[in-house]
Amino acid sequence: MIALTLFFTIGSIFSINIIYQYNNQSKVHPSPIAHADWPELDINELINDADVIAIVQSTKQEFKEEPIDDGHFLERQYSDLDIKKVLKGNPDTEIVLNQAIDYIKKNEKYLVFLRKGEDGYYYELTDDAIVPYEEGKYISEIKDFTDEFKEEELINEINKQMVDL
Amino acid sequence: MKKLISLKLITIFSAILFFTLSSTAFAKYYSYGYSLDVIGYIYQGTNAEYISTQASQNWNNAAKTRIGYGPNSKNLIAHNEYPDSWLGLYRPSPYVSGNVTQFSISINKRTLADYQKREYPNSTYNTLAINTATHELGHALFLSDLADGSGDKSIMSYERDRTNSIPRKQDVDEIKSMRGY
Repeated sequence: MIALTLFFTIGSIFSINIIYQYNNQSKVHPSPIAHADWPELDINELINDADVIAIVQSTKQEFKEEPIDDGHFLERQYSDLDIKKVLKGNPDTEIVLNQAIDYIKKNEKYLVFLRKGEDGYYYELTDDAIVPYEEGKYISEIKDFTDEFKEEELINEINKQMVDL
Repeated sequence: MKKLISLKLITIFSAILFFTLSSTAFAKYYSYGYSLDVIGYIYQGTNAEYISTQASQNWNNAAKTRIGYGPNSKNLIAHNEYPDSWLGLYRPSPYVSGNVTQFSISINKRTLADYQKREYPNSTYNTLAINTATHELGHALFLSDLADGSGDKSIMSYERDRTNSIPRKQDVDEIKSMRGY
């Protein structure tokens, strides 16, 4: 019995160690199917590069399968974004976000850092450039800006960062 | 008697912990890979032949894979301009009995050119394109993206040194672990 207990205890410690190493080395990104390689931009670079920084809500979404390369197709999601508050830029009251991956959810609120494409659609700058609003807080994973913010705190922080630039 | 009961409880608890954690530890791989050994592809776009060949050789040399051009393959490595902000995209499709039957890799010339000028002015465009292609081929080999905090431990990390396109030890170890040899 003691041998068995020792065996399982050592096994458990070994497993915990594997999990610890895994958590430190392999933070798996959540995207379930297609995967993208994004540029690594910190908060200052995002603020600088964005044509529009705004708090938005997706009101309407449409999927379209479009040709991407020779004989291959990509499912794009076009989301109409209702702009709640603009922090940078001069967008129309409603703009369309074009995504090929990590689609946003309908009726959810987000803080977004967007670039306007030559085709008139808007595109996220990185995978972290869309900050979701969950249970009363914005959950930011932006480099040098990783935190949870209430809406007012978030607006103040972004405005402060913009002034500092 | 009390000692025996507590020993039994510890044993049961440890057994549950052991099996639960052990199974979680091996759930880190990307499910939509193509093959761990042999991958054929065709290419499309300016300079796509060179970029895809270099990226394939990086894996073949490091992990003893056999990735290469196959004129009849349905897998595609394309090097074009896309409106999106990503540098590269791996898209598996479709699935038959849970397996990926083909994939496409898109290397984004537009974003990569800007990124190279700004972040890696002392490097070359091709170096970064090959790095992105090597990263995307990692997905075809069942490797997942690694998010912030992973540094340069893996070619799958967003924080990697993009002037070094050789798959890292962790990448090779993970492929070996999945293969079982």
